[in-house]
Amino acid sequence: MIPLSYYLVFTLILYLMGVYCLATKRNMIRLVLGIEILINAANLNFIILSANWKTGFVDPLAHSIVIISIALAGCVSAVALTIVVYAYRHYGTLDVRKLKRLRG
Amino acid sequence: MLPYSPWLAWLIPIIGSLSVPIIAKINGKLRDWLSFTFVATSSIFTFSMLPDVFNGRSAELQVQWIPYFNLSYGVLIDPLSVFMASLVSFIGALIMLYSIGYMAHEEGLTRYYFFMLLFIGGMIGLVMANNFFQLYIFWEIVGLCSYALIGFWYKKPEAARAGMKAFIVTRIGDVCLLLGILILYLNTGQLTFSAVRNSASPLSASLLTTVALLFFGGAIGKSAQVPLFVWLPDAMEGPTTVSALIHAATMVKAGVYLVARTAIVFPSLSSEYLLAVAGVGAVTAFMAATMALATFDIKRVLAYSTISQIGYMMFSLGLGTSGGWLASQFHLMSHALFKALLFLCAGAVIHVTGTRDMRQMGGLKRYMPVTYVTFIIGALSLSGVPPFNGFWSKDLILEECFKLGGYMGSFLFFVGTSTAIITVAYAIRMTALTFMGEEPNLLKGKKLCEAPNVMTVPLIVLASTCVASGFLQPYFIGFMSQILPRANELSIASIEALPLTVSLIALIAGGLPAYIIYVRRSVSPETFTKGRFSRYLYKILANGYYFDSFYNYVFVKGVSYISNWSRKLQTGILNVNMIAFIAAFLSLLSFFFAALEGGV
Amino acid sequence: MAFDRIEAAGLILTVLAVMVSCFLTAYNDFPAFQYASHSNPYMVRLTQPIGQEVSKFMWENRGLDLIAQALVLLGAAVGCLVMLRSEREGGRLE
Repeated sequence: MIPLSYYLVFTLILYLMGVYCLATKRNMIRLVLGIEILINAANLNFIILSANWKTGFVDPLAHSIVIISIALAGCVSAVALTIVVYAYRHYGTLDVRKLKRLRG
Repeated sequence: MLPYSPWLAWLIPIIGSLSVPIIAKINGKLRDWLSFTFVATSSIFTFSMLPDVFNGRSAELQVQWIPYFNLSYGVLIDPLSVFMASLVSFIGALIMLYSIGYMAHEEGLTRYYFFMLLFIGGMIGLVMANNFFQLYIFWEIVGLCSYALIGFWYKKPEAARAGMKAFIVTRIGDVCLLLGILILYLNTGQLTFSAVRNSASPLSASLLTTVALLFFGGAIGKSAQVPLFVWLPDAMEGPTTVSALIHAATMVKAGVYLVARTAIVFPSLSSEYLLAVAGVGAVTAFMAATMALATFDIKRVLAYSTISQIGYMMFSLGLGTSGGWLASQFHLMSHALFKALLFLCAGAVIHVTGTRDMRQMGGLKRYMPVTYVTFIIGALSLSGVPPFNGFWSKDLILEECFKLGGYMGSFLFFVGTSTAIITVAYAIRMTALTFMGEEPNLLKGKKLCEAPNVMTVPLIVLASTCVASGFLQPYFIGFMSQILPRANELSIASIEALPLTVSLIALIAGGLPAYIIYVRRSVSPETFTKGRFSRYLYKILANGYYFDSFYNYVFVKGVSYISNWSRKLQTGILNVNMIAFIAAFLSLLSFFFAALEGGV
Repeated sequence: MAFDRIEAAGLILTVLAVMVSCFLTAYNDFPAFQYASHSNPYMVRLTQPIGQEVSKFMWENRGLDLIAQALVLLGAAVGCLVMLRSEREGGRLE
């Protein structure tokens, strides 16, 4: 049996890759993809921990949470991309580092 | 007592305030008169409770709210709460009647009536609450209404700033009050007045002192004592009816009510607490009276006068005797009546002349006779001239100080007398500058006539209560002393000779110079403002002992300097914020790393 | 490529964070795991296909969640369509 810590390390690396994408990338659409990576890492963590109680058994509560979470991630991306389109129309650029002022 | 009257007394104005926006859509006039009828109905209910309590039947009704935290809401029907509720509703009804005429040509009246009704309901709920938590909820409601009504003309920047200042300064007091309530709850587990008074296990003296001092901190904020008085003079930017109701007759008395209730409810009051109360009250009374001498805005004079008279009430409560307690409550009643009268007369003057500056007024007694007579009655009550009610109540306070004796009693007697001298002086100054003399040029062009009837009727009613209520002193003492725990050493009826003569001499000592300077105009006040040494005294008084500038420099300018300086740390770029997030995550992890893997 | 301070800082910090956190996760147990409850009546045996079992569970015990999620999805779709209206057709909501 593969010990639990391997799976958790995997999720952690995925999470930190999502955070790296949010911290470094300039393009707004890449930031939305970074949020997607983060949500996927969290979902994977749920599934991993649900299979860990007894060998041969799985806890379906975590799966139910993940199903809702995937649908919500889709909604979040849709709304976020709409906002990115708005920002592009207003500022003329997709660079997130140009959005420094509070006044539009 | 009418059925359900303790609940209806404060529920009717609140429900009325919620229905004002709906009624305003139907008709404007209907909204004005309906607001007045709501408050009048509430006052009928509160007055109906008076005969029962007078015959000695006090009660407490309670409804369970959250049993786990021991929280319930209820009403307490005992002499102090019924007295204050009837005072608030009576003066509130008169002021609502007055404001129908005063605010006739303003816009945004729906907002005004909403907040006035909410305020009256909140104030009556405050005095009828039976536990400290409910008192705190209504305290906050009243503070909110005060903020909204001071900033009623929000388009004027001074008014908006004054509203914010009032809210923030009283907030400091509210934090102290909340701390006191929390400490009381955490140590004893109950908050109702009867539970604290009759608590089975005796509460430690240090706990009681701490809680009582924190409650007094809340009272300092709400009742505008030193050092938190700076909001009240600026709060005069609101309409005059608001100043009359909230900042003269009712809301600033909430602090005095809290201190009075503390004196009843707590089993014992330590001498440090009494010293603090008396000291703050005495200092405030004297300082505010001197500040009133140097102000030219008629409403600011009345604001400083309010602060000073509440200082009287506080140091009378700080005497610690039953007589002092009764004297302060009696002075509360007289002060509410004559201060509301003075503010309403000032409102009539402002309504007619259009200005608040006393230097631009004068000679109005020909044109506004009713206002002139009632203003003189109010000013004489304020000064403590017999036979008006101010004389009876102020003399009672001074007698109690004299009877106490010792260091504190004689010091407070001295402070009270010297403040009385200054009070007479500024009262005469105010009257003479406004009504006597000849008119300045600015007024000659305006059409000056008496205020409309709907405004003068409350003035006449209040003036007659000022004249009559002084003689109700024995009934008042009998009514209120049922509530006191140690009511056996009362000897109020006797009038001592020495305090009486001293206060009459004080009247003459203060009145004569003011008469010479302001009524006869034989000595110009310029000798004081421009004289070689008195010029500095005048500057100190006119700037309010520099309290305002100190607070402005330390808190306003200081905080904005710090925030401007730290604004440079924030770039507003998402990437930078996420890098800060990773750095924080890393530092947290390293902390765990160092804690767990100590040896590796 | 021009030297970009933010990218460099992000890269270094992320690599450090990955190393430290992986080290901590691999060699320590999470104390919270001891407090988890092991007596869940809905545990599914792994012999049956997980997809079928989880769908059965969702429909029977979490029906309201599914309906709410459908509403949220619909709301998000409608909101995006409203926001993406252009100036010429339909006009923008002020």
